[in-house]
Amino acid sequence: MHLPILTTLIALLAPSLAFTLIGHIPPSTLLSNPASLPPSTSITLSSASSHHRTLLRHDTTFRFRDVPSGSYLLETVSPTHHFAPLRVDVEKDGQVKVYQTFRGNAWANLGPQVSGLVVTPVKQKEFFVVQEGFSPVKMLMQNPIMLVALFSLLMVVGLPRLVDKLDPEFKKELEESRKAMSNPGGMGTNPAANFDLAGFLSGASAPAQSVQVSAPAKQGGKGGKRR
Amino acid sequence: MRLRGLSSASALVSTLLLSALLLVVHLPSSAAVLKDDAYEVDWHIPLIGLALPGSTFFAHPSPESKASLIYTITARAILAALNPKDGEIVWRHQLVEDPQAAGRLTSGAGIVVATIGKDVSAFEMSAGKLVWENFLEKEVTDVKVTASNNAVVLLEDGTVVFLEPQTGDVLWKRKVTTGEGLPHSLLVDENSVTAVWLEPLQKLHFTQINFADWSVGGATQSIDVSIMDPMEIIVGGQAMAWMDRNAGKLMLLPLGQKTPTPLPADLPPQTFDIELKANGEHLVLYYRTQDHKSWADVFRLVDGQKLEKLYQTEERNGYEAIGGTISLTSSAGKDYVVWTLGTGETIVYDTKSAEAVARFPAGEKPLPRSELANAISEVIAKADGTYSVRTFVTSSTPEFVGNQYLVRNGEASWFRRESLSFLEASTWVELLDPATEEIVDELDVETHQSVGAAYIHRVTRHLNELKTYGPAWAQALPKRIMAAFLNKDITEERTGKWRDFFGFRKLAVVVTINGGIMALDVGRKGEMVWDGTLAVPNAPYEGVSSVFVPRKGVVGALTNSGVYTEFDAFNGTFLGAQKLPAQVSSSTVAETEKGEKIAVAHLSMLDRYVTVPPEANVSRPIHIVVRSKDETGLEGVLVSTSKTVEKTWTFTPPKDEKITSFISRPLHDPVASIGKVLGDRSVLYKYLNQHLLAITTVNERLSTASVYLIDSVSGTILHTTTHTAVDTSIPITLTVSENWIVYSYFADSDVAPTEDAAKGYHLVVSELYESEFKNDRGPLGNSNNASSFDVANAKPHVISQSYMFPSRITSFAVTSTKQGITSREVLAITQNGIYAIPKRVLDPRRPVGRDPNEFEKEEGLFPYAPVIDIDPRSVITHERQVVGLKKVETTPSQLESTSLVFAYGVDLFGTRVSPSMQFDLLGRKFGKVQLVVTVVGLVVGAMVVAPMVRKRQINARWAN
Repeated sequence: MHLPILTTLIALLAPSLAFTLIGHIPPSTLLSNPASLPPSTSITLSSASSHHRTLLRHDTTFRFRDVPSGSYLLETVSPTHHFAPLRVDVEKDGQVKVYQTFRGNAWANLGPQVSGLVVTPVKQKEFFVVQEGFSPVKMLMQNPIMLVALFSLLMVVGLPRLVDKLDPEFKKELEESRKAMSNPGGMGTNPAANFDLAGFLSGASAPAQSVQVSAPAKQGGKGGKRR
Repeated sequence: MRLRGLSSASALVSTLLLSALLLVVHLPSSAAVLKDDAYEVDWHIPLIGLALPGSTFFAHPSPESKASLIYTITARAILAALNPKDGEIVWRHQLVEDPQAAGRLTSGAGIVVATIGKDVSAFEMSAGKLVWENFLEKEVTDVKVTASNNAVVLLEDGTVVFLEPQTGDVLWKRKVTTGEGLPHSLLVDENSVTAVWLEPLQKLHFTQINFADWSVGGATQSIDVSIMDPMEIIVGGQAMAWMDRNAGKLMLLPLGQKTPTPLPADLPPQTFDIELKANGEHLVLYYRTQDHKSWADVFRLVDGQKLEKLYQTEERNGYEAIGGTISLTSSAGKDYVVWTLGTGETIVYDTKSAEAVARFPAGEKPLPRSELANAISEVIAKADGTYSVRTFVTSSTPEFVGNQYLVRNGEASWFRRESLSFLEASTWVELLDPATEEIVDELDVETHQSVGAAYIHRVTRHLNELKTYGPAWAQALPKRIMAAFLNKDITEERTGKWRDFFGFRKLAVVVTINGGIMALDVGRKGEMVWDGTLAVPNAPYEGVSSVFVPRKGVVGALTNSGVYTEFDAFNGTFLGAQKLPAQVSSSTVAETEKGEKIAVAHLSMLDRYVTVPPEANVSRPIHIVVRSKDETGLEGVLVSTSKTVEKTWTFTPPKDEKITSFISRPLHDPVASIGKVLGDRSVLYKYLNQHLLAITTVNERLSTASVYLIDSVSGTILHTTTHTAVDTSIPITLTVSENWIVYSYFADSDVAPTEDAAKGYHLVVSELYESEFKNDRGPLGNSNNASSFDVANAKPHVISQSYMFPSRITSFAVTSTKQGITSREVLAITQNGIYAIPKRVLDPRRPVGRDPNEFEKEEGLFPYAPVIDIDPRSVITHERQVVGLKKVETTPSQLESTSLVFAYGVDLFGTRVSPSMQFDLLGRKFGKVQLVVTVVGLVVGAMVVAPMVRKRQINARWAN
């Protein structure tokens, strides 16, 4: 993919001790076709009293002519992508060193050296925030208060029906097994531990009474039938 | 036994309502451009500027393409390709920001080559991508492209430079002029290039250079001429013409000829303008005379030697003739002369006879009365003998220079208002509130009547109101509610001078550099409401000094030449003009007690100050700041209520320092709270001084930049900061609001060695407080009144923080809301568009090097970070490619949350911003229907469930 001629950085010695810098934007994961960048993509090279600006060329290269030696900040401005800034040092003999640089760091603080003047995008620009509209589904399904309320509603309406629909034999068995379970605990156990939820919800009397005889269960059954 | 089921059902409803409410209140934490709002609330008028003659042409972007585009370089240094169908910009580039010289444009195979100043660049014709560019040693006088796509450039020092077609590198160069020679132009043919240069008042030289061996081919040919300046030579395509001083005749020279031909007849008397158009074979001269006549002469070059007059066209009279322009074009091997008159009427001639081959009368909507210039045309001869013509013309009407039209068969098919690319001043015009205005009028009537009459008037008024808000109004109510409910556009949107309910409509009155004045409706995509002119006949226009609203419904503009003109702000009616005794050197707009505005103009020639409008009363003393006479310092000037003027103080910067700008707080800058409440419930009192003035200076010798804060009444220096290692070639931009200032500059340790200065743009914020201690009001204490003269001992406590910013900032603005309760945003014009930085990011109290403590967290402070990065979501111009913005203006709307924004420069851009989000307005796509349906559904659900539950409970009781 890489064109060796383009990746190599050429610094041509010009008579006025100014140099030509050539760089390019190679294809990368974020930008598979750099030629698709808008024509207004520009690259600036700035140092005190020496500000150069150029546009990205049709072959995705860029070049700065007549750059005197010095230490420069290279920035790429594109309407579609973010690019990281680079530090470009042009030495007096025309040697060029390129480093990654981080804004806010002291200039003397060098980042890792980069081979060749190559800029790659770091991020695609996203301009908009999507405002969420009112959506009942979202409101019902993602709100914990709502979920609790829905659950209790389900308990109120759904569970007694479910119990009613059970096979009467199985229901009896279930109740007996529950009674059996609750008996070993004796009187000392917490009434809540053997709380007859179904019975209670279907209109049975206080749970504490349910410990005594099988009556509450019967009543529960009756209550169910009556509906 | 509790009624559990019912209670949970009602809890459900209430929770739902609550969460619906929460949803309304729930807002993202920082302001950003919402997808629903983009392209709806904002608008953008892309502009290019005045198309330059000779550098504007129709061309096919590639040999295969059927349709041609219009390529042009403009006075704003914008290279653009326009679609002739609709006038839309296909692509454009701003080559330089502040052009010092006129650019040139020419085309080659698949490329256009543009030059401006020393810069030469080639662009692909179809997509507008850069092919190559080069910087030459001297400014460019002319550029041509050879058949092999090499660009040839003539420099101002007379050097011809030949460039490589792929890279733009210099292949060879050769100086052609000698002695005092002035370069004029280049002529290119297949094998050679000829440089035309002038020896003033002596000779016109033609030096030919062969491409083969870069040698000067043959001897330089010369013609005796009596021309002083190359500018006197009119060039029109393939011919040049000049007035010979000795012969008193117009000389015509088809290019490549050795001897010029004098015009056979003398120039008609009263001719004030001659236009020349020529190609290889034909030549057209177009005359306009002071007695409002115009016609054209058509010539032919016989045997490449002699000019022969073919015919003279008919003569036309009147303004339409004076506004006309001519063009010469070829189509299918034949040449046509296209005459476009000021109304758009088009007449087409061929080269055979003075009989027009086609005439197109002006369309139903003729062009606005204007002088046209620089026409370029395309003629298509159809098989049935009819013709189709389209002509691209620009207006040269003084105050609206640059407006562009495409005239298709006599009718204006599109129009570009390019005069808007030359704005130099603007002001906001408040629209009227229909509700209050009516009542004000009625109450006015009542105050001027006797008690009885006034009483009757009032009773009738109330009865009338009863009628207005009677059954008909009530009947329409459900309809209106439904419309609002279904998010329909408000149909009865106010127009004209009445403002809309939210105050989103406001007029921006703008002044062009050529003296045009226009009102743009910022709430309606920048639509033009009215236009007028500030230019006075028979006097040069010298620019505007200030434009302001002296009283409700009136716009006043004061020009530098001392003419004050008033217009009706809503319809542009001219209300009158007055001439001041001398030129205006500077002026300041101040607000009087009644909220009206007056300008104080300095007439430096008379060393006098006058108030404008002259009849306005100065109801309270006005303090203004002007540059001192020698331009080095500033002076404070007091205009008293009796309009006497007194110099109060002088500010002279230290030696070597130069004042670059000074700015005071905006006239509308409400402050909601006089202090900042800290996390521990204590208060830090803001230093609020209406007379705060910030001055920026640079010292080029030491590479420093300083900011001075001054009380503009007493001239006391309140605070000074100096930054070292500053690049003084880049302007320091600054803004002031409330109790803080924000500015930016470029720093580099290379210019002055300092400890680890970070290279790049720095953004500094400074906040002013009355005291550095909490709950302390400083030396002024609790006194109700404070005098600027006491301030000397009450200097503010200033805290600052500095950040790195990734882009150069051309200009700052601060959002402005009605009460100032909404938090502010700093709007910065960057290379990426207009970036909105929330003020809470630029808070100098952000903790440095540590996490915020509990109190600071409560206050909303977050840790200091040295870099403020540009988040594209806070770029209010978002994806729009806005070119050349110079200034942003903000103004409050009727909603506290929203500030209106209008930016100009080259393009125009307008939008609304809500720095604290739209807390007083529902979003555009808020689902009112869904919300109501959900609530109704739940209520119905609850009603269904309730009897069931009740029955169950009764059953339960019975079961017991």
